[in-house]
Amino acid sequence: MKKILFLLVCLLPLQLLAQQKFTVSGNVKDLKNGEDLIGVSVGVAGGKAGTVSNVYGFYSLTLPAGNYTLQYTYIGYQTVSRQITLDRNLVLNMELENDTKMLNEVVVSSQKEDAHIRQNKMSTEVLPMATIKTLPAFMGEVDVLKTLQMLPGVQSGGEGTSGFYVRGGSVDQNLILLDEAPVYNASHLLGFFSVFNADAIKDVEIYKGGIPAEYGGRLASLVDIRMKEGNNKTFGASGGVGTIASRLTLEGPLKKDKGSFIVSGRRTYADLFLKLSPDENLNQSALYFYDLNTKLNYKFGEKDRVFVSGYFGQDVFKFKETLAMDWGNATATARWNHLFTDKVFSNFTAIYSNFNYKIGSPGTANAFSLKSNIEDVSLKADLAYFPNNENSIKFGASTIYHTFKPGLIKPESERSSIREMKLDNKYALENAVYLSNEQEINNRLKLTYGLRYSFFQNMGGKVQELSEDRQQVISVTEYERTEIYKTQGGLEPRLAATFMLNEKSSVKASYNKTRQYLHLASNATSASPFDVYIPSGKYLKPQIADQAALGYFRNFLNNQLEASAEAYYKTMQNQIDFRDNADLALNNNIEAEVLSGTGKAYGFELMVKKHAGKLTGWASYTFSRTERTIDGINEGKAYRVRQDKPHSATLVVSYKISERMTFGLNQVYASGNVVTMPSGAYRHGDIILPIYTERNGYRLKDYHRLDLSLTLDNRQKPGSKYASSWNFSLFNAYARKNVFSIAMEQPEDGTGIQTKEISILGSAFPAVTYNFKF
Amino acid sequence: MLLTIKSKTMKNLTYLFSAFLILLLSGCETVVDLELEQSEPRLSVEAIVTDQQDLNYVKLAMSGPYGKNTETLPVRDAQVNLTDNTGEKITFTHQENGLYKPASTFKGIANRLYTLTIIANGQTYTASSLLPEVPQVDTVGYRYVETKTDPFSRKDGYYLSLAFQDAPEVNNYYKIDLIRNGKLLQKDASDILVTDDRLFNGAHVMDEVNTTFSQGDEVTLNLLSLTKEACEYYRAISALQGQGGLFGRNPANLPTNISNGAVGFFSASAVSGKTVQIK
Repeated sequence: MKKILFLLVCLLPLQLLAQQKFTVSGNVKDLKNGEDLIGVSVGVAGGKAGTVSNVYGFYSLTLPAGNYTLQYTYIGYQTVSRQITLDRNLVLNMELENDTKMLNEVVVSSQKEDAHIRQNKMSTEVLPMATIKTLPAFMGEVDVLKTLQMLPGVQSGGEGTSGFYVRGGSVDQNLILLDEAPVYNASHLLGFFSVFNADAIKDVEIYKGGIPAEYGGRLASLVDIRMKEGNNKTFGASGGVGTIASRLTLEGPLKKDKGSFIVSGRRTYADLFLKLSPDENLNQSALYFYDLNTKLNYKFGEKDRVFVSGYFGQDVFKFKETLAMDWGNATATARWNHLFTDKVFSNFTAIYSNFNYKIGSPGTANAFSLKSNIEDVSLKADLAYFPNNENSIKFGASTIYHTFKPGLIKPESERSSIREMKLDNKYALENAVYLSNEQEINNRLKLTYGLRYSFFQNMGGKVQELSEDRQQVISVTEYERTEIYKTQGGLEPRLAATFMLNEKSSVKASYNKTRQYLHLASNATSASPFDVYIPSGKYLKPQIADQAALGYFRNFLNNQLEASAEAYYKTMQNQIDFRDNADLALNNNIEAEVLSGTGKAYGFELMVKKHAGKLTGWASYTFSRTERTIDGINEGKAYRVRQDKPHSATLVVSYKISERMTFGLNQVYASGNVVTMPSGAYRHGDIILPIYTERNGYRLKDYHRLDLSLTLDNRQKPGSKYASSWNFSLFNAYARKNVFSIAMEQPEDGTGIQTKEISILGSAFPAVTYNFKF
Repeated sequence: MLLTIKSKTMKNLTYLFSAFLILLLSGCETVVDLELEQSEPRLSVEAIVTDQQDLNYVKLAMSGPYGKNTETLPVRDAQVNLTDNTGEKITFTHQENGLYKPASTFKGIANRLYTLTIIANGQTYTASSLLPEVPQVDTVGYRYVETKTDPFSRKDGYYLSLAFQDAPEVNNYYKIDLIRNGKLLQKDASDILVTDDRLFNGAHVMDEVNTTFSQGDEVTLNLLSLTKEACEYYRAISALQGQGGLFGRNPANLPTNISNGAVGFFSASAVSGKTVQIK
């Protein structure tokens, strides 16, 4: 594999000499603020050849010598044409202007008009922030991850849970990247809000399948979130004052047209209201989060550009002196874009990511603190080579050094009886190389074929040898920090094809194998920030998934209406769950609690999307089933998992009522969650104990919810840069008490059990946000 | 508090946290009657053997439906025998409502392996447990706590404390039984207090028990040794608290060491305790 890459790199200059063609390449940006534009279609008038700008706004097009008219097309922007004489290699950077005509309309898709049917991509969806911002949001806090959950195939875990589920996968099977850095826990306040501050985000792309070869490490999905670069023309500020949080973003050029910066911060202040509460339990408590995003980029000449971006966020919860918890993520990414030739674009990345939590009980007799974290340091090289218009080759390599510190507990006062205890740290390398090619076979058929090889190496630290049933520790071996004691890995083929049936419709198919080396140790019904990740190793095999999908795509009304139907089938190996009554907290021998087996998911997704005009949005329906079969759970029979929701449907509408008024609506419907309910009872003393016969055999009531919003743009004074708007939202408008789970309590009289349906949101939640920009 | 850190603190923290959120978000609970499937009745066993004379019993019943009226019918006509690895044998005879007690004076002995045999409904059920050693409880004290000044905001009332020396180099598992005016407190899952010594191995442990008492109560605090398996059983009972909440764990059948499809547990413990009169 490495040899192939090496050969490819060596052969590049030869190939260039052999060609009688020339290349036009460059960057495409927004004229007003200099932001890179992703996915701009660059083509020769008449449609003979074309390409699309990459995530850094770079494009490269190779054509025989001659005169051409190049067209730059991007929805929401004015199309620009340029006459070029191609008698040598050209660099043509382009700045596109926001289409003033379009400005008043919501842009849902940022692609070329018919990219939906033509692009060799399925099971993916791009959501530009402009769309997300007009939709109703809980407490008025615009939330990228919550909007993703409105897409078909993406299921919410319910209010107050941090995870989401993609095509039957579990919450830890989603790879969430913020400027290429993995974010381990993407939620604030246990999932009510995501860690992504909308003001700092440019766009979000989700891959539910057909994951490109350059990405790996998780089974079910890739959520690729790109931060804004910042305005490289003029200084500006924007922000908002909301019901529970305020935001402020500053951006501007480091040097005009050369570099820019953006700094964006957010903090909630619900805890300030708590202080006013007469209730002593509330007014001595704290509950808030904050986050900070920052990014710098600078262009050194025509061929080199450097990006540095960072994120830091923290949640804090304090209950008097009894309890203090905080948790958060920190990520940092440094990237260097280099143009080797006008056909070879490269990006070298160094990434740091850290998720940590701390729980303490500072003011009590047996005061203690507990710390846990996971840390990644990673290096990556990604190259794209555009040999001609029919092929675009991508290849690269990456390595991640993982450090797992599952727990350190310490006494926090001299009187405390708690002894210091440390769970063994674990270290591992996760490596991958990949090569893929997107090839246009002819006008109708496009293929993308790629191969990724990934492998995981456990190294250093203490390793426990377990007995056959894993319940006893036989011996402990201590390895040197650099000593590798276990390697697991394998190939991950990624294939995709698009066949144009006619100008309006296409059929697409994809297959991909994905491997995952990290597992979330949670046996709770919903994930919490205090769950730990455990690496594959001696007793834990990597998870593997194979997914095949087939789709039909058709555009209507001059590409204004995009319809798609996709069906998928997925099998999963080495899926983990935990043995009954597993003891996961502070357990140094957590492998003993893990059971593994197989999984299966299948379903279909229908979606109609309108992305231009006064009325935009989408409607979708998803049928999905998923199950696991694991020895030792449910008597070894297949069982449904929480994300098994046969039916779900969403309606997302944004309607431009007038020049200054936009109305937004979300309607969600989904089958209820499954829970495990007892089928018998016995007693210990007076305590009633349950007997279970079927895992997740009981389905709760259906979930549905309506959210509404209204955005009012204030009149802008002539000549003033200051623009502002009001956003009013009503979440859970008809105050549906959706059932989250069933609590079982034993009343005093001891005759039986009282069952209670628990709803987390018990009413409608209005919110007001004031947004400004200057 | 310490005794509950391992098994409960993490859960309590998240439980408290979610309760807090629900309070803020005006979440709600609605009492409902659910139609649940009902499984075949099974023999349930609650069997305790100790190194004390009065604390040995076996309780037998058939499991019943789960819900508003949980009726578990006592099994009155079983043959119950206990043997140990030295060959000693004792018969338990039926008293009332499925409760069996040793037919003659009996005390368990630490480090012996006990085997319980039950013949009921024509079936034979067996279970075994080692009787582990227990350290001496040095002191049992009490103090009055006021909600206002307590960092935990606990209920007003008298709280018991205890001190003992944990044995180093071995894994110990403990249960605390509280007997108020002659009656053992085990009304609901929160009355089950168990822990292992992971966090205080070898320490001289001083801790307070989170149960309130009133003036005039006579309280016996017993520290019981458990096997690892028994500790798991009790921990699973204790985990039933807050079941179905935001972070409730996946429900599972409680562990059992009884053979032949019965539910319940046979546990052997050494007991060390002290009695105080709250004045």
